[in-house]
Amino acid sequence: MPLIEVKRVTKAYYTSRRKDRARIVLDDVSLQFRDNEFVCLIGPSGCGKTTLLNLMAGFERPTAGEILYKGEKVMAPSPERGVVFQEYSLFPWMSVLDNVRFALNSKELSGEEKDDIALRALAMVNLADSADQRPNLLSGGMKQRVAVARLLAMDPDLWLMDEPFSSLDEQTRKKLDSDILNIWRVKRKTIVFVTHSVDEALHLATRIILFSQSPGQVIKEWNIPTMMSRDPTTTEIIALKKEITDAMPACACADVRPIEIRM
Amino acid sequence: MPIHTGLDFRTESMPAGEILFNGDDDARIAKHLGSRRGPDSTITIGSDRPAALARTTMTFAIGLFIVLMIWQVFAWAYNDVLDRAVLRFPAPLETFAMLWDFLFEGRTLLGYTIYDHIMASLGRWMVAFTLATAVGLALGSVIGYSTALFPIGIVPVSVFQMIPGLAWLPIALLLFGLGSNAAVFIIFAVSSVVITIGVAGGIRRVPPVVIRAAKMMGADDPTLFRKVLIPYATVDIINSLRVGMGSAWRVLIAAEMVVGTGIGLGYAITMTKDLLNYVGSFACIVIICIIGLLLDKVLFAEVEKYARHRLGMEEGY
Repeated sequence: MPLIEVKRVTKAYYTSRRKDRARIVLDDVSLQFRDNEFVCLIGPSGCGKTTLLNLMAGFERPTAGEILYKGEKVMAPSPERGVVFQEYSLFPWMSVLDNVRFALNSKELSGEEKDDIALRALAMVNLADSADQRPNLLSGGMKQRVAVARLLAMDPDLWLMDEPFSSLDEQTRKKLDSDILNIWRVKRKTIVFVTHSVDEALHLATRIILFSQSPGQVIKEWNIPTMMSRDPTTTEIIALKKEITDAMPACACADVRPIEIRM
Repeated sequence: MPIHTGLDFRTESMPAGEILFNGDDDARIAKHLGSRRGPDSTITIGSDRPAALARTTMTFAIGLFIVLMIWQVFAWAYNDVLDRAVLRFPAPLETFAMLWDFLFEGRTLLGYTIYDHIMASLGRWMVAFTLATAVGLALGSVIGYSTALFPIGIVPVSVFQMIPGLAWLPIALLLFGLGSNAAVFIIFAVSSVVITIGVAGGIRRVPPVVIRAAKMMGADDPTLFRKVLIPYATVDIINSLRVGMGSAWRVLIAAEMVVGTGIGLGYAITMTKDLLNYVGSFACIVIICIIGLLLDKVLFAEVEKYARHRLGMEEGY
């Protein structure tokens, strides 16, 4: 049984305040994510990658179709499915440690155990020294590392990551990508990672899923053996990159008219 | 970002002026560039507080001087140029002389000391504002939190908001008759609506990503409300209390003028006016301004600054 299964999911949003039109963002998408996979969702912006992640997290419900997590229909967010958001989502009035401890709120643990788990999670992302600081003193990369530490403390089986490092500079992003890869290798969890960068996907994924232009549909999937070298200069990776880039929809320009439903 | 000391005259609609180029800051830092040591990029400059305090006092004094000038010129023009001998327009000096008598020479006004009037007004204000805060916080929280209740709840609140302070008078008189309670009711009616709207707005402005993060981490509704929404909205909530406090203070004076409270600053103004003691009226107006300024610019500004600091939400530092 897959860990999480997306079954014929369609999601549409109203496009006007009068609610007389809707736009289909995800169009009849079916996907399965197995244990211990690192899946990257790539595709042009506006193709519904983030929407799919929100649906899997339980923040929103599908317009049609369903999402099954461990065989049960996803109805609401849960600490079993952790999310790292694209925007900064820390609580500014809490110390870094308390931000991480918040992720342990729903677990029955003593205060000391919570401190212990939170500190170990912070140490894993090299932020143990900043435990007492407020988020407003942290750089963007550090903030996202705290967000990662939250999930480490929470220890969900599914990690949903929505372009978590896209607002960071190239060097920081690469460093954090490697960190995530290490965490994944140690923890053996399932990660679904949204990105628009083919390079980032090739660096991280065991499977890459390419989405089409709006309305989002799966164009193609690539499995990358865990054993394969991720060195971007090897012929295999270069060939794979070309294949994916060629399969990418040409551009996200406005000349592609979205499907509209009149009501 | 200048350091704020004492009187803080910024409001929501007038944030700290980022547009103005502040050459003073650069000049001050430039003097200390030589003290830089090693590869460290931090320069020790020393406290700006005494200078900042001097600046604040200076700007405040200039502003105050302008008010007094306008007042003096107007009084002079009215009394000496227009030369209407019947009633004199009170000039600043005679007003402050009488204020001095009220405050320090034990001179009474309508049978009470000025302190009795002040305490009576502040007492009404306290009672009404406390009630309004309790109701506003509760109502605003419910309306702000519940997506289902907001569109319904905002209708009566908006209707009540459109009722000007003194238009509550007939209702106040029907409920409480003439006297102090009617004034308290009017203040309550005005400020509770202001606070309700502010609190509801503050809660609704909490970014969705923060709410989603909390839910993803397993926060149930009470936890979400208590540990995320309320802290996030605190600065907005304090601001709404500040605005509510201001409108309560203004309408208090007006209410005292019309419902016959027998004591209080507003009552004192109408009575001195009727007794043609215009200097006395002016002295009361000055007191009202001072108390209002102290409450808003000192008390609430400090509370807001403290809250921002505690919440890690300083604008700059």
